[in-house]
Amino acid sequence: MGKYLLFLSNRLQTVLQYRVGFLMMIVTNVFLILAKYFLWQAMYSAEGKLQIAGFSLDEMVLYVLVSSLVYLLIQTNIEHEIAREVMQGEIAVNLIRPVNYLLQKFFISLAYFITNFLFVVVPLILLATIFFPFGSILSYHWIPLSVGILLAFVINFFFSAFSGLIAFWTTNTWGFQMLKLSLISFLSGWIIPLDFFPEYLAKIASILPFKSLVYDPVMIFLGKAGDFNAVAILLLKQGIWLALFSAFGLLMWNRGIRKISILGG
Amino acid sequence: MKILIHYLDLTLFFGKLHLNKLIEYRSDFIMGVAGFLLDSTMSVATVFFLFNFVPQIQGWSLYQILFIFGFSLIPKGIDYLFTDYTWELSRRLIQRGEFSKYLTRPINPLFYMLSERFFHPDGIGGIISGIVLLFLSATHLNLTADPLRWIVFLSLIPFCMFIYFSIKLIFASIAFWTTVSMPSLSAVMSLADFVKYPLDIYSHAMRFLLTWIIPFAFTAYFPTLFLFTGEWYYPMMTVVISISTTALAFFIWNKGVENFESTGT
Repeated sequence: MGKYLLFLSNRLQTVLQYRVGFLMMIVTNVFLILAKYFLWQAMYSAEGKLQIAGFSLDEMVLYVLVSSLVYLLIQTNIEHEIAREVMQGEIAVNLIRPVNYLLQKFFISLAYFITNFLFVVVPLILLATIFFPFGSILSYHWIPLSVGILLAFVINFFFSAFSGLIAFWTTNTWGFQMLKLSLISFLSGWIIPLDFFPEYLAKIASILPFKSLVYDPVMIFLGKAGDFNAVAILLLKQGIWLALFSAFGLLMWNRGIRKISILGG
Repeated sequence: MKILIHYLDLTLFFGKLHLNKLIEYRSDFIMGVAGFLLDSTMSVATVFFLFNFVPQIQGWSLYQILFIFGFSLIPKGIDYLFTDYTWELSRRLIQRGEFSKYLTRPINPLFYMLSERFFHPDGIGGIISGIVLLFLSATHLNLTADPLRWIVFLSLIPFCMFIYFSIKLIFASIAFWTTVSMPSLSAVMSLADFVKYPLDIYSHAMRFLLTWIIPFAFTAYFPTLFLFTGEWYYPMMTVVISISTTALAFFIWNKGVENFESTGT
């Protein structure tokens, strides 16, 4: 465990070098949130509608805010690093080290989670509470949200790992990254809530794992995911996806490193 | 003239080179194309999904919005096709000292740098989906603007593209002084997200920002407004803004290259 924490603290120090980066991430996210905010506001004012697809304007504003923050938090920033190490053969060095490669990368990506939380998400929440009066903050479900985010982060870590490790087979990863990004951004509910999808598409999205990255945690937070049992089932499903993906990640890793000796690394 | 032909030749040569690099990894390339198709279909579909719930947004109909959206994809796509490598300038070319390579050959350094990623497939896809969308929405709207208006409207495309490129180049060139400028570049470029929708759904401050500070509004909204209304002020301003941002971008780029040479980094 100790050695993995070293990877974490090492990366923390690197990330903390570029402090202007955090400020700019705050600005970027303010812009992205505002773009959605104005669009929704225009939609609700269209006909003086109070509810669209089961959301009031206030709920929609909260959805935009929280989903943006969740999406930001689950970024692992590790896919290009893994892909590069596989493509350039640097990964061979890691095979002779007494550390688990994926676990090492996981701890490195935790550094981004921690810094993004402290220096981007917390300031954004403070900004949001100044500009949008939300009423009682305590009436929302913070604890299941936190659990959901943590699980989503680990699930997304495996997506990142897959998109890097796939380089063992495809050599280049531009295409898979592209595919992954578009799948996640739409089917996770980050662009719009899944309630806006037509029925057939909503059904497809509900079978796939992507919605547990953003949509589920945010709906739980808003209290729109149903009663206690429904929430428990959603979190359990997230856990099952997580178990499946970690097994698949291990399989991919074991297959992949066998490939490396064929190619001569 | 001779120089121009020489550079056209080089463009084709470098473009083929980059495209071949991507196509060589066949399975990855196919996934990338699939990802791209999914991405553009879904972003258009999102607009349709929204209009399932409201008949118009701030007085704009579905096809009017799709028209603006479609047009915005064309200059953006052309820009993507030729200048995507600007991002690397902000990300790593200065930081890792790789930039000096571009000063060692008898080609314009800016051209040489950009040539690393000519003919990026995302760009081609963007242009095609833009044209399809424009055509589709134009037939639905029964646009009966006179041919002269159409000619002026379409000839604004290169000017829009240069607005796009020069904003990107200005913020990437900051890296010449700060070594990395990617976070500020992504903050500014996230504003481009706003132009898919009509400018008048945004607040006054936002409109001012997008018109006069970071003039993305001139890359889609104002040209389309000209086509719809025939107000000559819009295309004239588009040209003026385009020429001045381009001049500013080249000025800052040149200063940056000078600065880079004098420090010898």
